[in-house]
Amino acid sequence: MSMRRKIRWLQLLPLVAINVALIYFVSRTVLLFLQDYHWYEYVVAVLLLLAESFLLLHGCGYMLSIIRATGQANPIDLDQKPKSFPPLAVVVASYKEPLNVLEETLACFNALSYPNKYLYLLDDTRYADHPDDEALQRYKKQVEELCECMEVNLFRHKWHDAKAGLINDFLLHQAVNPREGSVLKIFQRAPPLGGEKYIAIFDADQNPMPGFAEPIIAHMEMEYRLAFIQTPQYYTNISTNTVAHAAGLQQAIFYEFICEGKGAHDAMMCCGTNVVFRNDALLDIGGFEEHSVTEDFATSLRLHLNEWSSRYFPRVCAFGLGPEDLSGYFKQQYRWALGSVGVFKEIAHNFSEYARYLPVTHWVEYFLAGTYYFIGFVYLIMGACPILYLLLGVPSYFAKPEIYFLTFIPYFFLTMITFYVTLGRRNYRIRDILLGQILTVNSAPVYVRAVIDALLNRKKPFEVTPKGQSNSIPLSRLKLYLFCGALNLAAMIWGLLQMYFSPERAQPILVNVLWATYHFVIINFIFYFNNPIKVKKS
Amino acid sequence: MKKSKLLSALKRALITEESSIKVYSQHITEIAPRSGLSDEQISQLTRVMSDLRAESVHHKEIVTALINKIKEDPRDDI
Repeated sequence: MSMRRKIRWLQLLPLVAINVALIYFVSRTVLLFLQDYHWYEYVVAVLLLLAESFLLLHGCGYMLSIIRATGQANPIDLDQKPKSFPPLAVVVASYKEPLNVLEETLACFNALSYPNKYLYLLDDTRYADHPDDEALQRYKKQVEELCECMEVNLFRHKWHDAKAGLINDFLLHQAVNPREGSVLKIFQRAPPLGGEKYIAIFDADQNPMPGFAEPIIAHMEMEYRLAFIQTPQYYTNISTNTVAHAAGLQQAIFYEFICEGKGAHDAMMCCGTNVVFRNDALLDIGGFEEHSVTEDFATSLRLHLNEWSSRYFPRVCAFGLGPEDLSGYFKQQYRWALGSVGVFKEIAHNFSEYARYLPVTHWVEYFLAGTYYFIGFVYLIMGACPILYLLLGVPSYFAKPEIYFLTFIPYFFLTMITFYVTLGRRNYRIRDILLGQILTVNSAPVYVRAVIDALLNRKKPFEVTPKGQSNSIPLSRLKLYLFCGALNLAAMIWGLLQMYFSPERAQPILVNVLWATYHFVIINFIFYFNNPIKVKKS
Repeated sequence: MKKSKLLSALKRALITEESSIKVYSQHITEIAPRSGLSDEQISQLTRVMSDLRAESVHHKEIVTALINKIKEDPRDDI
């Protein structure tokens, strides 16, 4: 099959899936309003319809991303060579990161082949808050020794506003306008007067490959209003760790078609690491947004509103480590969800005031990204409905089973087939993608908590994703999962008994028993993920 | 420049290069099959790795020879 035909086929499949999904949604909505029901049944039914609408909306967003990504007329040239080498600051932001993790990243910074690079460790550790902590003061000295040994400049500042505050102070320092308390120790070479033209930002555990910078700088140099280019995150500790494995696959789903689709129409958002910014763009908007825990996302919106553009560079050119246990993963997901919903409020506010400043496609991308973490509520509602029906007799789905199967089955299978086939074409296995999805579903309680905290403006202290540790969560902290698993099991058993004693209602009961079984299996995967170390195959 | 300072800088450069190669090779050997990277990308990364290793061997030879020469030099300031 020729490449062109393959691409057309990849565009056609999501297009058909969108249409089938819309048919399902329309028939589902019409059937809901044609039925008689009690008020409490109506409440549950409408909640379920809203949950399904959310999935359908995001599903359609994903399908459109596939169409855009595969139909790009001028995809970014991955091998573009730069004509010049303007000064590039390569920075890693660190907050109490383990020294061995930092050492590896700094070694990779040194190995970057870009000739005009300036290397920096931005140390955000709050030494001043703990002057009597001997271990912390020892760590401070060790960081300095490491920077001297690795020949990397060391920047420290008076702590404020986490990573965003740190990078902003660094930018001000480079622009010869340092904030009080900012100190730069030169161990590599002094920065150019007025600072570097570009800044490549990495998290402590992200290791760029030697040729990381050249093609990206080449593109930045060609487009004056290009504010940043984002590259993918790719975890390599996935073969030995169940959590990192599933988290890596979740990332992959995002960094494949979703990011490519966003990049195709200039709506890519910054993901905080493995990204190159134009310093002028950051200075133009006053630097990173300091009042969000997802400063990258919030900053992207401000850049786009100020007519800066962005791109996605779809080649893995940095490797890193995924969270290595559920506790670390949940912390990361909580932070992302809290920040994204916080930015969602800003998106809604900006949309109401500056709607005409961005094209509709940008707003759609921002609304999809900003609302993604509401998915926790969706899973909660979808998980509760079969239990309510089987244990309390509250129906939530007002359609005859024949109609359900006639409209739902094509919708469900076609969207799933599109999802797996398109990712399969990008070298992902169904089993791996499934694990990523199952981990997402099991993160529902974290997402729900984060969304509520974000909507109520509850402030939480910033927590970094721990590295180099793989601990299981005690069972006592998984009570919610045990409870939900038990509820589903009870619903399944009760449902089977009802089918036996009331065979005339067998069809709807069977559908709900199948859903309860499905949820029971998914919930039980929490115990698989809670044992994060896998034995490596020889 | 002080002889001892020069020697430690050269040794450090070698160690840094070796560390980066160790990090890269660890990542590349950890890449799980069918997890997003195409065969072409993986073979490209493997090529980058072998180029880096070859360069590193070359650098090591040069720097080791240089270190030996500096050690033989009777001067304290070079």
